[in-house]
Amino acid sequence: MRNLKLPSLLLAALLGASALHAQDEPEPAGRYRKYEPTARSFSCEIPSRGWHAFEEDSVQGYAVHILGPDSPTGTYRAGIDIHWVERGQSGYMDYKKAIDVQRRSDAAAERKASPVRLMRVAGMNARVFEVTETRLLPPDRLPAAPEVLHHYVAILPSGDSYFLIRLSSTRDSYLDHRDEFVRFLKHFRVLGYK
Amino acid sequence: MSPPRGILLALLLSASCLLSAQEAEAPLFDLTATPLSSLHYGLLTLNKYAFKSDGRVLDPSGKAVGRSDMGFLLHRLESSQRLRTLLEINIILNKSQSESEKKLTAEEKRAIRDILRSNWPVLTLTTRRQFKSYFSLQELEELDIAPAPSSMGVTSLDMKDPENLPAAKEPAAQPAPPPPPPPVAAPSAPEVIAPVVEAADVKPPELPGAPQEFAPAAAPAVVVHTAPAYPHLITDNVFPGLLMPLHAKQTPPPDQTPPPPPVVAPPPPPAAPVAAPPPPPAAPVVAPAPYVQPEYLKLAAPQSLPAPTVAETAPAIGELKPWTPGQPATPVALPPPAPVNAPTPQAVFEAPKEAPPNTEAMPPAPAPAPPAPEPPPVPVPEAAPAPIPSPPAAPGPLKTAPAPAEFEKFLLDAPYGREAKAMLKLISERAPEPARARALATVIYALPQIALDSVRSGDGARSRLSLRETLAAPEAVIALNPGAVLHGRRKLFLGETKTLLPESTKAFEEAGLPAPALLAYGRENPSQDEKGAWGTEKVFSDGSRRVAFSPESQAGALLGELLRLDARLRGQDASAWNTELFARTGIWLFYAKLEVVLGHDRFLDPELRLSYRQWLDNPSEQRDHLLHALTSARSGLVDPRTAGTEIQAQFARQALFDCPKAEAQEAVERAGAYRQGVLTRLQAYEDTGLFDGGALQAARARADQAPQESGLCQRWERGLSGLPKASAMLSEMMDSERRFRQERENHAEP
Repeated sequence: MRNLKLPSLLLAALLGASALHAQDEPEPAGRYRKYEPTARSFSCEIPSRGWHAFEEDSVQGYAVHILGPDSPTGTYRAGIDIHWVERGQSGYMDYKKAIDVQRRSDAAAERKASPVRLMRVAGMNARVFEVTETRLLPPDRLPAAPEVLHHYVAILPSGDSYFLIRLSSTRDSYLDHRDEFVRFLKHFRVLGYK
Repeated sequence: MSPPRGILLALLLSASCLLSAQEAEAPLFDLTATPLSSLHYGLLTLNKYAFKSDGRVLDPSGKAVGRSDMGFLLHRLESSQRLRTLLEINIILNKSQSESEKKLTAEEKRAIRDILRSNWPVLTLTTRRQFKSYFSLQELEELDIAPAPSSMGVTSLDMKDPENLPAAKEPAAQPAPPPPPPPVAAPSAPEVIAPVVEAADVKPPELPGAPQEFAPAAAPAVVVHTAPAYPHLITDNVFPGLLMPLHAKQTPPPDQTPPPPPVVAPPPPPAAPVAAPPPPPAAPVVAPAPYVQPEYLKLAAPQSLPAPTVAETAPAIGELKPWTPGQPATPVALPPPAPVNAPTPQAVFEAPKEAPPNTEAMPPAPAPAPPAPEPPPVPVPEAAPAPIPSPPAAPGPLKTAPAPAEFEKFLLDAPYGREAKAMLKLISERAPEPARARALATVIYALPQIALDSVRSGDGARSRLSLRETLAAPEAVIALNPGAVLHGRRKLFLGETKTLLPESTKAFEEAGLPAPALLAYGRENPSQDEKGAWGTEKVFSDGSRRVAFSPESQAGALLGELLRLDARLRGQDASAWNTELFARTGIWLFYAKLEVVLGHDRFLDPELRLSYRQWLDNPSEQRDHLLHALTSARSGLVDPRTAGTEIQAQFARQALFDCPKAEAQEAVERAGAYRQGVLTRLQAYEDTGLFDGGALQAARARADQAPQESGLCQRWERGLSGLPKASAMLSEMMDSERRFRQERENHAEP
């Protein structure tokens, strides 16, 4: 009798634990969709509704932009930008210099940056930091008012090349998108390189 | 003679006969089919080559140069000129009494500088780097406009594909011509091949845990045709006369005066015929590049215009657009085409001497305008967030634009005010290619109305482009905003929020609001002038301020609008994001050139300076910022659903498949976006604290009155076909930016 009770208790405990685990991620099916660019350099998950992804080549290399909801002021759309930076591209700088450039302070823009810390993203040691700056928005319409922007930057170095991921929004709406951003980094996977 | 030897001899003889026959029949280089650049004219002339009226080029012995030989010949001539240059410098250095090259006398340095300056176009990139210490950064930038030979391919000669040559040029019985040299023909401009990332060249990063096999590079090989990078030296195939050296003597067009007798001979006596030893047969020697009247000038002549028909919706070139609606258009006589002569060798090897921009000629930075009574409202098409419909199909605009001197002549009679002319002149002198060529061509072709008018610019921060379609031609109005009103609202505890408001009350009227009760909008004079972040600010007693944009900054805004108009007229504006990137990159490159010349960027207002510095130092961040801002509801320039060309094409295909239904759905979407744009704009006005609730409530009621859009299916179809052109246009500008950044890296201090 004693021998029979122990496994059943263990089973019950396991079931309970799995139920609790399920409560941690109550994601309804279809809320997120997998996204891979045509180059298949990485994969990620983005919300199925209201977020639009596209890719493009620029002078600085290859980039994927994922555009999300607009800010309440209607001047700045939240979004995630992924840049693949590799040696040989025009204006290339190594990731350490890129971190310095991203974290530069600027009195005119009231630009400030948080310290760099390490975070495990896609099995790599990513350098992450946050930047805030104040810009006059919208850039081409009046009235234009100063808006504080928040950038959550992650750099995933790999040799001389690296992924630069920037999660941008207005500071006021940052908390609305924070979970999406964190989830994005959690599900970001490096598949290959261009 | 034994039989085998005889057979061998016979074979050798027949082979040599065959070879000589082939040589005789080998196609000759035809100058009329493949025009040469000014640089190559100069090289050939220096080396006593002669040019014939039938297009042949004779070497000093009187033998015609073959088509397949020309590329190698030019390569050799460039190389020998380079060697000559280095030898001349070497002689100076050897004769010098100085201990080292750094301690040369001023006279010796000047001599070396002169030699380098006049031979810079033939020097390779490596040689240029070795001698760059003889020049300032500004001089280097001017000199480096001439592409180095290594970057121009083997010879930089645009050779025609033999199969595309006119049949009349090739004898019917002629054997297949030898393949042309590597540089293959560009139709109208020197071909620039963008760097291609080869999959094999990409070194896979070593990543722990990363898969060994990765997707191959998807970067396509982009071949971009750009305007000549050194317009003073390279003759364009389309308008050869317009891109000759500025200081070269000019020849009237052949249809007006007899052709100029001589071709260049170093030094070039105007009437001396080329003496090519031995004297060639009686065929007269003509100018190497027969002058062809530029297309736009031909069209500009009123008598050469075809009779306008109702169906003809393209703008008549050179036709003055009415300044006010309803006023009949008046034909404007463009200046006659300036005749151009063949370049002299001296001219060929002289880099253009650029002077700093004549900012004195420009009107001074406009002090913020004193409050003046509002002019009567001019009916300008309202710029709704949705893009303006594309104009009717227009004939192909110019592929290139005239030289600064030519354009200055055009400006003399152009129907523009003093400020607009000064800005256009600055663009002509300082804008980089391809922005310059496109902008000036648009001015000549479409003759847009340019007004410094805050009433017409409405809520546009710096400018507004309006396009009115008429039966005869689309009428473009570019309204530049001279300034703005700065209003500060105190925060609850500390500091204040400064908002930039439109200078004209017309913008409030458009939003359905009354003019705010600020002294800056009244008739009172400002109490004082203050130096602030926006330059000289006119401060009023209630704290409101008027600020002004500098003429250089406005010239950039004008350049941007001209580029947008150009994209629209060429049917290359299918992608709003590409068009904005194209126009803004052109503006940044223009400001970068101005910054080099002026030595500062104080001509930019604070926000524009932030964006410019961001583009300069961290371009990807600036691009992201721009994308997030332009896809917002307030800006409404770029649709976030279809920002990329690929995704836009997919969207259009899907919508076209389900078209009548999709059109209705899309109209609902756009009405929602319009409503969001109006409401957020009113919210921004409310945040200033200048408007009462009743006025705002009444204005909000108008948010549902979205402009009706029709013909979306046709627009999708047109957009789908225009997307490749939009991508090509952006590639052209990206190529220019790439060159700029490369040069910046080269000149950066180690």
